[in-house]
Amino acid sequence: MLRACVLVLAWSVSGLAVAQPLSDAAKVEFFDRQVFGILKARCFSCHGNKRALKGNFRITSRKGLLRGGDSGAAVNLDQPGESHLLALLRSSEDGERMPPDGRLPAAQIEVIARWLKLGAPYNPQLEIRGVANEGLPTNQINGRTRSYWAFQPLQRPPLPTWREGPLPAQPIDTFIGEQLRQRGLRPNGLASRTQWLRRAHYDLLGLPPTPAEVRAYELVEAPDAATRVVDRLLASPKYGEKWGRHWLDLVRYAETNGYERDTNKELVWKYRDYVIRSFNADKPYDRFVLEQIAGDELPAPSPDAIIATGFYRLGIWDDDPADRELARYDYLDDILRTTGETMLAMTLGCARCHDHKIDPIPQADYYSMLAFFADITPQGSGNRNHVALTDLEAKADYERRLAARQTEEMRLQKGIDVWERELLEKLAKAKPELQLKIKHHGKPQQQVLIPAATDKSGTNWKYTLKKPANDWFELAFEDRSWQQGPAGFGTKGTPGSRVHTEWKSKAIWLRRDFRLTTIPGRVKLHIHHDEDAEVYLNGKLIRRFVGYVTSYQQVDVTAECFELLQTGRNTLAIHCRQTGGGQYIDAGFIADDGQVPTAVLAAKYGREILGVERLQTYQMLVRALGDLKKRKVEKRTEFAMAVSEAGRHKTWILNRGNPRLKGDEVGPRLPQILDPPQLAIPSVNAKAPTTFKRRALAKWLVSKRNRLTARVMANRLWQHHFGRGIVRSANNFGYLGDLPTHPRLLNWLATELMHGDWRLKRVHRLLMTSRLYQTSSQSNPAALRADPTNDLFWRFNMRRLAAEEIRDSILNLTGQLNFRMGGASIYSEVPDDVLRTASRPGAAWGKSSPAERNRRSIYIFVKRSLREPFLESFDWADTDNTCDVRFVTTVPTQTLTMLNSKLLNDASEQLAQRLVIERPNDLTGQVCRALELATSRSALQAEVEEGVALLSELREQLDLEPVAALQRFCLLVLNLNEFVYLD
Amino acid sequence: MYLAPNRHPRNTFCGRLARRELLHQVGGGFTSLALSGLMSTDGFLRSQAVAADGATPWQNPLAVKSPPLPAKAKNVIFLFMYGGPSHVDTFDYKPEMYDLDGKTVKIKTFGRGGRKDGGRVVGPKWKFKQYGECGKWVSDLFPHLGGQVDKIAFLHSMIADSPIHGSAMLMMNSGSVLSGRPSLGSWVNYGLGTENENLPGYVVMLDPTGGPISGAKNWTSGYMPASYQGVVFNATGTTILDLKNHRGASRQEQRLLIDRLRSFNDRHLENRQDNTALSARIASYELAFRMQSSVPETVAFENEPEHIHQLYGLNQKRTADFGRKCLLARRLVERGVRFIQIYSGGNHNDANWDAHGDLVKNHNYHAGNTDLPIAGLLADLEQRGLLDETLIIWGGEFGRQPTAEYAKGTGRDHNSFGFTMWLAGGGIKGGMSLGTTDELGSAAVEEPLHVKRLHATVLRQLGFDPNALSYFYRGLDQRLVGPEGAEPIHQLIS
Repeated sequence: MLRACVLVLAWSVSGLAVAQPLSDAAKVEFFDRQVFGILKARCFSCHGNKRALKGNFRITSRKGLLRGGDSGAAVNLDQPGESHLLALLRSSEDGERMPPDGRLPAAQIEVIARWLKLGAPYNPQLEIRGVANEGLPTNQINGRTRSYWAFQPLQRPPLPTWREGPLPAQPIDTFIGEQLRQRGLRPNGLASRTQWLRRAHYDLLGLPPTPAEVRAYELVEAPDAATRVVDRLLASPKYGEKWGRHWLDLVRYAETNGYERDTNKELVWKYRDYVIRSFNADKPYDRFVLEQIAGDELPAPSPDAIIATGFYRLGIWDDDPADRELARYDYLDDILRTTGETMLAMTLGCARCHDHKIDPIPQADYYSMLAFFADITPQGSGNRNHVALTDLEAKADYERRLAARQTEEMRLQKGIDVWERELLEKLAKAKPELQLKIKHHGKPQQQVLIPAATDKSGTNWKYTLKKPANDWFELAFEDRSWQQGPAGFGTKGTPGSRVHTEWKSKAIWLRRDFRLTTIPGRVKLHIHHDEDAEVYLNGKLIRRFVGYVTSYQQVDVTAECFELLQTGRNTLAIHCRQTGGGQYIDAGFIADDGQVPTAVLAAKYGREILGVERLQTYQMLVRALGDLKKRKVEKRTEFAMAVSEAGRHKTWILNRGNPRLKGDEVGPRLPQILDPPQLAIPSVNAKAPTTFKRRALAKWLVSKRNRLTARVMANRLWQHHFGRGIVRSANNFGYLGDLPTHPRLLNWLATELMHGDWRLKRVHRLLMTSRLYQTSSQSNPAALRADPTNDLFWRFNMRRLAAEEIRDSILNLTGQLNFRMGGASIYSEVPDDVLRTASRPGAAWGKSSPAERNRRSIYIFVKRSLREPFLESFDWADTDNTCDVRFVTTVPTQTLTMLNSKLLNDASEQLAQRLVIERPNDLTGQVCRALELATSRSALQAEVEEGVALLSELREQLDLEPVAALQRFCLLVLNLNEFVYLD
Repeated sequence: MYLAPNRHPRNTFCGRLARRELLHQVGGGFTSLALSGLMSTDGFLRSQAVAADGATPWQNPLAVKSPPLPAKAKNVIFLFMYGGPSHVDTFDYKPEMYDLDGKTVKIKTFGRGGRKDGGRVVGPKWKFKQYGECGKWVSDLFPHLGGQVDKIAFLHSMIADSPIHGSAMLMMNSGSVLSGRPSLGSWVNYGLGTENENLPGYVVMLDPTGGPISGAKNWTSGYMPASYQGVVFNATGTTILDLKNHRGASRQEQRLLIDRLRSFNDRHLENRQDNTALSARIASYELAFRMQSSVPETVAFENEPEHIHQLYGLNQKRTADFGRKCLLARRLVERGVRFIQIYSGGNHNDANWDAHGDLVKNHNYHAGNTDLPIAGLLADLEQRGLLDETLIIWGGEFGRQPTAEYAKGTGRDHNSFGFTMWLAGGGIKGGMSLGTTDELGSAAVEEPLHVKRLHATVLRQLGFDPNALSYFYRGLDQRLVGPEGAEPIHQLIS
């Protein structure tokens, strides 16, 4: 070893070439002493340290050096002097020379040259090796991208071994502990019980604990106290209002369409309530996703499954776009990007115009994914996107009411029947001469239900000459698209015809409705056909006519129609075929009533036979029945803003995203990098309301084979408890996203979510009963130096409250917060200055009652062109794009709001009033109480003194009334950092 | 391209790692505040004072930044003629068109009334005169502005993607017809920060009749943090929302409150010294307090001499409102505000330049309100030596059609196939005109200039390569000029 050192020193001093081969150890020694320092100082940061790998060139390992980079081989070991690396080191050209920030000293370049001559030896212990295949591009499906962490099949990692005493209660702590230990760091101590409680309350409910809850928790000694608190909070309906909002951020929830008219999305608030309801019910996440993507395609969809598909209707929509075709793709793109980033954390949208530049998402994958959504009907205004809800409860209620109605009808009818029987019997006795009349009653009455054509006119029929769907003769068949014309149909000159609509083709299909109030005794067809005709009544074939006739015929069809006729709407449908010669079709439909109605007899003989009183009773019954029948049993239908499909649309790869440059046609297919299964999309007939493509997509999204869905959601649960995701870029798990700081923990948590029936509350419990969740947020100089961004979670991350939490906490403190849940959105009080910014200042915003205004912030109307100014000021989520992480900004305009706005000043007055009531005539008590309410802890002596001092200064120096002074102090309390920041 | 020349500035793909992490810090809870002066002394930033590459010093988002390229302009005043002024009646002189008035022509148009293949020509309703050394023809709508043409570069061949207000406004303000992108002013705020921490870096002034269509979407920061969005200034009444205490608390009283608050917050900070967000919030109270005096000082016109009042038309009823805003713009520029946008016209229909009905009445009204103040602003900036560093933009979201919209009357529908805007100051050549429309002004013919070119020019004059200034969002380096990029209009640059 000593000899080698001397040798090395001799080289660098003498600058002579190597005279004799060196031992391997000496080569390594040379690398250690001479080369490593240069590389580390000047090359590593761009070429291999951490994640930077410019030009795809890694100089931190021998393998990387020999592999070269984007511009080819870096070294030539056969002719080391010719190495490209040396040329670049020596280059004097600014754009070419490496390193770009300044040339290496000549002596150092010589060292590198000698090192290459030695065969570029490395010390394996100092090497930083890259991942396999790191030279391959990341935007193709290859060995490198297939082994990327996020695209790996999800596997449950074993728990790390634990050496620090008793095993922690929650496995997540073993993962956190292991990485801290590896870096030689120790976690912070525990936060105070109050801090923990405040954390738990805000994280789950978005509101602080009451002072009573704080005191109670501080006194409990039961070991499971924390678990019980978590369970209590998870059972609160306020949980859905807090966590539902996280979801609304992701799906860019808003209640208007944006653009020129910024019209309202009517009823879309039902989606917001659905989300809140789902979180509160601990709906499994797979079901939650399934309902939003394809709730309408689930068997017997519940109202919630339909409301969930409001997901497709939340985005921006230009009702008057300059380019309608492009606008359609913009709409679909918005859905695809939101779905991709929200469910999969994949930036699929980047592959709209070309293959993704960074991630392995070819343009074909983008359009194949788009194909899942291609048949969704376009956005519209008003009730265009409303879908009726089949509410089983409402249906049962309707059936109950219908049954009650029928019972009542039967009761009345029975009364009438008794009376009529008596009338007829007595009439028969009293006027035997009538007997005959009753039986025969002259000529049967004819009622023409469908008149046959005359020379002058014909009945209007719906008709089509194109073969309709197989169910064309059904009562409920939708024939709106058919043509309409007067009968008969055919060519002029056909014998016996009365043509009013020309029909020349081979076949015709006809439909005509008629209404009945009673079922007639006999019915006849009055038909002329040339040639074969099939006649259907209410969906059933009643008669087939073969060949042709030359005049109208009356055909009794009473027997065929006996069971088919119904009161109300009936449909006659005819299909007629033609082979040659003249052609014609027309049919009338005639009802006979062979009986004299009893009512007629009653009117004539009732008084005589039964007397005035009983006749009146009868007439009353008849009237009552008539009135009852006039009143419809209402079927109340609820609607929701939801998805629907229409037609079958092809999808092409659009060159540069331009709808006019259509490339290859593609069908629905999943991103290939995720190694998806072959999707089984059922083939449905062209008339089916939907295509079940979205259901296939949704099922794959939540299938156990999906590599991303569980990871993405587990990461979000983590994010909203610990201040950041394990992957910080929660919507982007791709190459431009962040790496997970704790990859195995993320995998473990994802499997835990999946195997726990996708129930979120269970995961909340796991996270919140961990040691990590108890950890203090305090600073620690050593840890801060080693890990300033807290990558290792040596402490708990402080966070500022979100916009909604701040507003709700302010109202909560005043005691005015209204906890009513759900329903149409409310309008907070918006200053005139803000209303003036709208193009219609008077119509920009609604008005809610004071009590309604004080509801939780999640119920405030979300208007794209006029965002609620208080929430907006505190970094409310963007409404036009999915928002995974909210910004936290601190700007003086926020401060102006906190000090000067009506909201804050009114709230501080209400808080002051509360204090006066709760602690009458006790200044110190009032100060203490205000601080306790705002911070969840008892006030310090110094704080009380300062508070009291401020009150007296305000009164004495500024002549403020005591109430006004207290109001100012309350304003101070609402402005405390401690009030808006959580430890 | 390993070891290849590093051609891009550090905020493009090549530098993505550093910038990405930096932005996640912003997104993940980092504080943004124009606090550099206050923060740099307390050392709180030290622990996170470098970006992820370990070398670039951390900058607060609104701290003053110098642009990567030499800047010709420091400030921008965008005079937004909302509704779309008719170019053939203002600056795009079409002498042959007078005789065609009332005649039917075949011409393709696209406006709110859809696509048409022809219609009745509405001849220009004003006479044109030549002005200045350059001899520019200007209509009688702008007798005062006519005197300033030697400072102005007219762009007669502007084109935009949409002839519909909602999307066209978004296009002009944010470069895309799709909602959700940051506005031009936000890009400037993001790129340059603010010189005066007592004032917002991006100020918007609206018409008394209301905001433009889509309201705040026109000055939104889109996917960027809200700190970059425009702040609405009122030229009368309360200048900024909540600048005055709702209960009328005196300055002395506020001082007392803020001092006591500071004491509480300092105590809270003791064990949390490393949390810069907390100290930033403490400092924001001082800033807000100072804003409460610096903003009123900015809008205090009383001290301006009488001839300045007259120059801007403050003493005339018609021009007083827009004049106040132009004067305020100058005073904001003097105080280091980077981007100011003033709307002429608001609300809907004839409350702005959207002359569908009576063109003469509409344009006489809006031009009459703004001609004198704008001319005054140009003259005043020049006499103070501020015009060189202040870029003025004039124009609407589109122009208007040569043909009548209805069977009767002079109303013109929207036209995004060709229209006129103008630039002045900020390193732009004066007395020049670029591009043409056809003889009826229906579409750009020579040198069509997409709105993105205008945006590129603004960024270039401020010292940015418009194709390099980017913001990482949704897996992409987003740019104002979009993924295809756009070149500045080099012919204009002096």
